[in-house]
Amino acid sequence: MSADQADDRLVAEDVYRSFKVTSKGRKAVLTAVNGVSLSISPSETVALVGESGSGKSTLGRMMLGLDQPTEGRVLYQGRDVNALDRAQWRDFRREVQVIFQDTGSSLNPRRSIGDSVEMPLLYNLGLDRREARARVADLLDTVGLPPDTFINRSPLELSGGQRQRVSIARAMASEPRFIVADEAVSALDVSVRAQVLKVMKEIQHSRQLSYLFITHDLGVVRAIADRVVVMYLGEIVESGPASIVLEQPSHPYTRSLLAAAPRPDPTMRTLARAQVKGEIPSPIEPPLGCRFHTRCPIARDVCATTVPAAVDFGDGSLAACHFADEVRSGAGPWTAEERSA
Amino acid sequence: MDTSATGLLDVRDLSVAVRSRRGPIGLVDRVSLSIGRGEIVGLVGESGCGKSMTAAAIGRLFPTTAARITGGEVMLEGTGDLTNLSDRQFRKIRGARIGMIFQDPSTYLDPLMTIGRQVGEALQAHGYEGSREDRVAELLAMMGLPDAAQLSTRYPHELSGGQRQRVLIAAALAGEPDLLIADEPSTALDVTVQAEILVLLRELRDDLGLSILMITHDLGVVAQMCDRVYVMYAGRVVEERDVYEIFKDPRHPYTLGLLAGTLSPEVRDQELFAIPGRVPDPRAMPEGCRFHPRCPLAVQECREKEPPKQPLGEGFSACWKYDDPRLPRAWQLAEEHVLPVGFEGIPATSDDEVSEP
Repeated sequence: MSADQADDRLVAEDVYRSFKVTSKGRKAVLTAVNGVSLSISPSETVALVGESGSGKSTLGRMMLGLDQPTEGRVLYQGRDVNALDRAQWRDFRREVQVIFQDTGSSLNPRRSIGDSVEMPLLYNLGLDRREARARVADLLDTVGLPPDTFINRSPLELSGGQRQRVSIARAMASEPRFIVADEAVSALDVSVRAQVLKVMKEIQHSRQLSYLFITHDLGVVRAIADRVVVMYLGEIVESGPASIVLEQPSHPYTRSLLAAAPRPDPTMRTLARAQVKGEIPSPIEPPLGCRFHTRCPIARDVCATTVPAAVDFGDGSLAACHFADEVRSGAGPWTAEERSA
Repeated sequence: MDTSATGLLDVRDLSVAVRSRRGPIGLVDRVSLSIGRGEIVGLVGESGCGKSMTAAAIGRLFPTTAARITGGEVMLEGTGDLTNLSDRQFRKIRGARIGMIFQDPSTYLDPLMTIGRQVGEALQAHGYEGSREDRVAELLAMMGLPDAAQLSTRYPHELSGGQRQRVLIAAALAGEPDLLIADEPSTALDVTVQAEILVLLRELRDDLGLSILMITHDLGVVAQMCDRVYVMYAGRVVEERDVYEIFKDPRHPYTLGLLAGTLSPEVRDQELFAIPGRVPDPRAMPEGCRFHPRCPLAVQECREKEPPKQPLGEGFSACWKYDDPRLPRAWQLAEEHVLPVGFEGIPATSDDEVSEP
């Protein structure tokens, strides 16, 4: 499929994205993404986590070619996605698809479910009408929507979970290799969410798809991701295999996120105040030194002055913290239990 | 179990129906729940199970033209049955006895009014006689919002989501109510902010003796916050238990299914589990136990007769099979095809929630 089989990845290479904004009546520059590198291999599921304002959706948009980096490049199969010719761009748009959170606004209410799923088959794959109709039925079936019942319905007649599955079917129609899912299951009920994730996982196995899952739900991350990338104020603060990042987090921010996730176990009432102080600062004037130091429960003097280098643990994980070793070993005031101990 | 000696709120057999062209549609069916002083009680279930409608009926949040209480009573300590009050009488209860907060605070704050004025208006509505400015500052500080003088002059859009939720809680508590109804109060927030709001609510309970009815779909929130839990399905309470018991030994297949679908960041190799089938359409509720079309343990009895409330400790399970030895493993057995799923041939492909009309 690709000219260069050696590099079949989707890669962000030291990308920056700044916006000119007006803040308090003055012109300012907001840097949403500040020098991020990320690569996704075939069949891999990468989860991108962080609070709102961390830049994760902006990064996702750049990986999709929907937004151009101010600096740096996004490469697909070794080619800069912002320097593709028309034919290459068409291929890219077909091979890299997106599923958004709000299916209420991403499906055309005046078009039937069948037509929405059919469009990419006609225009991206160039199938004729008859072939396309048959394929639509297959796709709806794959995502668990019986075609006879759903093909002629309007998105307005569907529940949130059903609409989300239509979005998946439509993204799948183009036979993509990468799917960016931006909070695609966040608004769904527990059991519907599981159904949608199951469908996504099954399709991945049968088609060697890659996913970039943008989400704030660490339970979902644990269930589906191979690798986790944690962003804070436009930068990656920690990354690595999901089992390592979620079991032995090495950045205080990751630990804070984990401590704040309400555990479904009443015998472990670990939810406590002040794991992190306050809320995410403005990316217009990010803190000097380590960007997290203003909220960090273990910040020391050096954190306010010196940008931490990424510590490589040699097991595939990296953490940008002066005290990453300490954090990984479990030190720090994160949970009620740990504090009282 | 329906009455508690220290009960602040005692809802008995509450039924609610919405109006439609083809006649009333029952969304809440004989729900009983009680909340003691200083207690945090969870009301859980998926979208469309009637939990928000129950809360709205307690707080009389819907216009009588859209929905009405068709049966039962809502007894508030010292006041009596709230369903007998006129709208005018009820307005005195709202805020003064029962405060309410919701998922999206910006919907409930006036975008053109400063924070100080909004909280001040809540005070005025309850006839507060002291210095309103001081009391606003006090309330905001109590919610973990220091520097009230400066904050009071700001507008809602200048605040973060977490700050707005704190302002809404301040306004809800301005009349010093005994009960706070919190409908998904932290769902739309970042996980770090959610944790802070939940901890704040817990502290308000500890410090003020506030009672809280937490409506949520998140069992993590329930585990961390609640003393007791009511699980709703298709308009009915199917299980009521102490929080420790319900997580350790759930006795309704629906509760078990919800727990099995909950994902934890710490747990390795989690199954992605979903209860097959969908919540029934309120216009066509199944006979007998309303969960029976999705239940792997259902037998003839379940299809014909509504299950009684089988007492369990302080609570109950409304399930014919509540003490069946296969119950704890019912969903695993169904996945292994040892037990059938979908008595009425509900295909695994059918769907989920039904939007509330």
